[in-house]
Amino acid sequence: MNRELTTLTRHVVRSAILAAAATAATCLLPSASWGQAGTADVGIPREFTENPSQVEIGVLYGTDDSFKFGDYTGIEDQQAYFLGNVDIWLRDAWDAESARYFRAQGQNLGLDSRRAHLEFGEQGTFGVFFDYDQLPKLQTDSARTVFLDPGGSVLMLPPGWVPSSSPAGMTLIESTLSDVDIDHERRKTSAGFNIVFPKNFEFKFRYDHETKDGSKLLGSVIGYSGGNPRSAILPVPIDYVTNQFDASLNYAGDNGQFRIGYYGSGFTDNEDSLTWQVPYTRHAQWDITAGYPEGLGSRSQPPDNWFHQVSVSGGYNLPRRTRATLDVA
Amino acid sequence: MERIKRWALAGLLIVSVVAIVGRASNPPISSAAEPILAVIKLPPITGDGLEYAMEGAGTCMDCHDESSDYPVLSILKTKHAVTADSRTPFSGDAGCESCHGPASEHLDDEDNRPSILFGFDSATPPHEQNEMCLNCHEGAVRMNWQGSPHDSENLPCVACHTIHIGDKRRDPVLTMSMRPELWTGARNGQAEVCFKCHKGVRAQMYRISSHPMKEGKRRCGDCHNPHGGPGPKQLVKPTINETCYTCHAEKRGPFLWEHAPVRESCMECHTPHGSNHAKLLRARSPFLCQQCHMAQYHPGTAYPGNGLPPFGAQNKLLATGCQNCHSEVHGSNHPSGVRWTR
Repeated sequence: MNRELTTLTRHVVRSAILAAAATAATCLLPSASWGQAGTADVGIPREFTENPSQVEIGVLYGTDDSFKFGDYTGIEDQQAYFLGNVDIWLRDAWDAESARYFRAQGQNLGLDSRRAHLEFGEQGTFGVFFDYDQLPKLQTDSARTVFLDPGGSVLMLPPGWVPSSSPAGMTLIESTLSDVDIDHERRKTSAGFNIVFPKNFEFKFRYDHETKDGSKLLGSVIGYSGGNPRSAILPVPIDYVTNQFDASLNYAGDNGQFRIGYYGSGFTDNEDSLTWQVPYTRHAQWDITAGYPEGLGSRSQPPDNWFHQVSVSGGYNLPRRTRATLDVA
Repeated sequence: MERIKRWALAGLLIVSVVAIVGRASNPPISSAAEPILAVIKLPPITGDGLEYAMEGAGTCMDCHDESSDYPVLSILKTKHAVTADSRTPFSGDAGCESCHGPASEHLDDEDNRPSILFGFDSATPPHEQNEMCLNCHEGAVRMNWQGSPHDSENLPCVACHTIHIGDKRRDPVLTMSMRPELWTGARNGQAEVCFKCHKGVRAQMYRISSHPMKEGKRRCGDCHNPHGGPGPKQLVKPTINETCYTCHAEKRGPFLWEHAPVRESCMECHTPHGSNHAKLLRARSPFLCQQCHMAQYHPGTAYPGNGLPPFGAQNKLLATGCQNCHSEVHGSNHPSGVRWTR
């Protein structure tokens, strides 16, 4: 019950923050200048020239608990969810003297699969966008483990553990099993802009910051592979951060085009390694300290890494439907 | 990393503020101002007696309103119709003729159609239709269109793109979700446009393991550039692995103990559009692994169904198969990770 209340509270708070942000952004608009009237009088009704803004607010009720149904959607519990979708779209008239635009979108605001997008600019001059995207990946809620602090980087066995050479002899398994949800969630925040320069040049930049938090199941081994290994499937923590940069200068002429770009991707794993207490009795061929209770297994986690790429692309139209292209990265 | 993040966000905010202030302190551009881009390249006059009317889009709309057989007013909701952007067809006097070609005779007799008509069943060949689009749109991600698989299939741009959007909010192929119940302001998403031809991919998407396509959280364009590219499968990055690493950077390594097929291509083991095996695998472990690992002892042993309960409990078949022990198949940096068990 506590978990359900906490989840519901989390939904409401997140949704309120996003809705407030969208509302604030809308209120900040100088409404008198945005939505500038057109100069031509061709007698065309507005519904044919403008996209109206839309707001959808409601309540969604999940009739049953289903972890799998919540996979990628966030609708996993038997409870009410806030249903919020927003699409606020403002721009100058098509035949106005300026071409400014503003758009604020929110989708699934009451669910863990929510997304918010904000963009504004002046068409043909510049554009700026901000984006937030959340994605739940729910693997299973029926997993059980004997390890304490599942999802942590050090997995220890409960006090008084009875080791054995196989699970059949581990008599404390049934009484020490505890539930563990295996799931993770991605949260991606993006921002970027483009600037249009004279002489057919345009510069674009995009930055993405993504976190991935949760847990996964991984088989882990103690002993010699190919000889006397013993394995345990562990709830392993996920705590990843990925940053990506994408910048490019583009030229598009009548016959020739080129693009000079940089792409950078940096990955950070906040968990360096995983240590787990071996639940098996020592095998005769193992080191004397490898079995329970001294034995500690360890495994590596994905390494931090950086990827840099500079690329040059170009194309030129030749006669007779022939085109020469170049890509170097 | 934190410092880079802060600098990137600060830079973005500065550019935004400068751009906004710059616009606020200067008069807005107009069609009379110096154009930022070159003047629209008009289609050539290909027939005797053809001439540009150069009367602007309003003349066309006098007839082509929403009660006509060919309603076009909805284009006024799109970027193409913004007159203040000197790059658009409507920024000059040519208006609709910027894309449809000279239409002076059409004004006299509606049966004298403009020289460029768009669509699958149009009399205008696809490459001539596309030339109109490429006059402005051949840069950036569309640089490799000519000679790309879709171009080779003779597809016109309007096979996927909707220029006259009708009652839609925008071109469906540019929208995200394909699920009406997860509201996005558009009833059709990008995936639905692709699935009109790629029906097999739609079926794969409904398998038990798939990327979140049907939930509207990923779209085809996240991995593919349908306008062509230098690499395989029209991907957004030059290689398969580089494309996968945009979301799965933890698989990039570097690893002390590498697994050769991982370096070669993620698709050696995974099928990205959907699978009935967990983790988008092409086959279930151990059978997937045994397609390469056929050495003597346990890698090459055949594991029949009687190793499963209630007949047996073969540990190579239960749970995650080979990955019960060899779980670091993407690579390991552990000193004892030579067989990817740690």
